[in-house]
Amino acid sequence: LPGGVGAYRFNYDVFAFESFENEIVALNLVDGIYYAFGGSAVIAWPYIVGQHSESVIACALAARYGMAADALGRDLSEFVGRLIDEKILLPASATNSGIDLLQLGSLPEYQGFSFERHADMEDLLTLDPIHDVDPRKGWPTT
Amino acid sequence: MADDMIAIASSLPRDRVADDGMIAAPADLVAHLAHVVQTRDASDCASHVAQLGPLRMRLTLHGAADAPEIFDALPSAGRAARPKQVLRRERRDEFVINVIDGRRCSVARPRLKWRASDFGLKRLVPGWSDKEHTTYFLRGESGLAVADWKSNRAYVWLPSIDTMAACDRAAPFRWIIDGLAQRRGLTTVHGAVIGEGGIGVLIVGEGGRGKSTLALAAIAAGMQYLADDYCLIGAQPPYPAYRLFNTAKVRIESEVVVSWIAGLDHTIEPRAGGKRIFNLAHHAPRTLVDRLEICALLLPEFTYGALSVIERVSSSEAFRRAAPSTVVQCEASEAQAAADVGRLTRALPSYRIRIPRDPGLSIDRIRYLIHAPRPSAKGASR
Repeated sequence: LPGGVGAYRFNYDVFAFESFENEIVALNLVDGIYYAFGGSAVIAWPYIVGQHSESVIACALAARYGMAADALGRDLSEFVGRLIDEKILLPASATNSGIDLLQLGSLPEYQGFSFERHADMEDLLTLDPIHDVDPRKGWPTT
Repeated sequence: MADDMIAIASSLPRDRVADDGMIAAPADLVAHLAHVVQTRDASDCASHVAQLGPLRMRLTLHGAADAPEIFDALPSAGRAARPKQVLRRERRDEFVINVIDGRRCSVARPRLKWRASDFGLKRLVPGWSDKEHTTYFLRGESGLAVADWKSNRAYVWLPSIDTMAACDRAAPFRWIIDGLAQRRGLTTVHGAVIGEGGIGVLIVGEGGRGKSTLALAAIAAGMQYLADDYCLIGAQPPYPAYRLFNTAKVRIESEVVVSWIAGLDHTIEPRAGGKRIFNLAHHAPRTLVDRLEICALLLPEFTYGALSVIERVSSSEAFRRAAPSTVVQCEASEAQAAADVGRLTRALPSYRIRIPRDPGLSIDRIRYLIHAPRPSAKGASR
C-alpha cells in the first residue's frame, strides 16, 4: 500500500496548530519551536490529524491529483515521518471512515509536502529543568 | 527548620499537616499563607489597587510599608465616585494578591512536599496546580506563590522584596495576571500597542525587532501608548487591548535610539543584553491609555534603508511572529493563548513594517494605517 497503513493523532499535550489558507503552523507549547507545513500538506492535514491511515490519504489525494499513488505515498510517508520524529504526531488506531473525494474538490497542481522548523525562541527559554528536591528542606535544588 | 514546622502546625488543622510538618497540597498552602496574612500587623503594609482593563487587583505588601514602589508599574484604579452597586460588583470581582516579605515579616519559607517531576520549565508548577489552584515556583527570587481562583486570592511568599529583579518590577506578577486574564476571557499577548482616537495597532515579534522603539516613537509623535511589551487582548470583536504596565523597556545596545528618552530617570536590568526601564506614568502620563481597539497587526523589523516601508503579509506569517513568543512567556494555558492569537491573526489584517534609523518615519505610516479604510484579514498571500 502506498504511504503505509499507520494512522496518527495530533499530540495536543505538547503542541497546538492553526490552519491557514496557505499553510499549517504547529507550535510547541513548551519551548516555542514552531513548524510550517505547506503545499499539499495543507490539503492532507485534516485527514492526517483525523486519524486516517497514510494509505487512505495517499490514494485519495493521488486520485484527485491524477497521479500515481506510489509517488505521492512516498512523499506523504516522509512528511509524516518528520512529524513523528518531532513528536507532533503519535501513533493511533485508524478511523474507519473513508475520504470523500468530492469533498477534496478540485485541487491545484501537486506541490509536494513542505516542512519548515523554526527555533527562534530558544533564547527565551534558557532555564534548566528542576532535577531534584531536597526532601528535608521541602524545596527544589536549583 | 523548626520555625517552619511551628508556623505550619499553628496555621493548619492537624489532619492537613504531614507527619514531617510539610505542606502536602495547594489548598493547604493557601490556608497556611492566609493564616500568616491574617495574623500580621496591618500597619506594616503597603497597598495598591490596580485596574488592568476589566481586571481589578488589590495588592498588599506585608512587612514592607516602606517599599510601595514595587507597585509603581501597575496602573492605578481611578478614585472617582461610583454608585454603590458598581462598588459592590468591583469588590466581588476584585482579585486580591498578598505579598509576604519573609525576612521583614519573620515568616520562614514554607516546606512543601513537592517532587522534581511536579515542575515545568516556567514558574507554573504543573504538579501542584489544578482547576482551582495554580502554584508558582519563583526561581529567580527563590520564592513561591499560590493562586486560589475560587476565592479570587493569591499569596506570594518572597524571602525578601529586595529579591525581585528589575525586569519583574517592570511587569510585576505577570504570571498571576496570565492565569486571571484567561479565566476572565482575555489573553496576555507579547506585543506593543499604540494608537490614536481609541483605535490601535498591535506590534508583535520577538525581542529586538523594534516593538519598544515604535511605541516610544509614537509617544514623541503625540500618539496614544498602551504597551511596549505585554498587553491584555480580548480575542473577540472589537478586539480590545488593555494596558497592563506603566513601563517601557529599551535595550541598552539598541541601534535605533528614540531621542526623547535620553536623560530620563530609569532603572537598569543588570544582565548581558539588558534593558533600560522607564516608568511612563512619570515621564509621559498624558499619552498613557487604558484601552484601544486593535485594527491591525504590525510585524516590525529594522532596515538600513532611509524609508519606512509597510506591506501586507498573510495571517499565517503574523501568527508565526506573534504566537511563539506569547506562548513561551505564557504562565497559564499555552494552548488557549495560541488559539487566541490564531483568532486575532485570522480576523485582522497584518503588515510588515520596516523601521529606518529615524523611527518617526514609521509613525506616519502607522497613523495612515489607523485612519485608512479597514481591509479584512484575507487577501494577502505569502
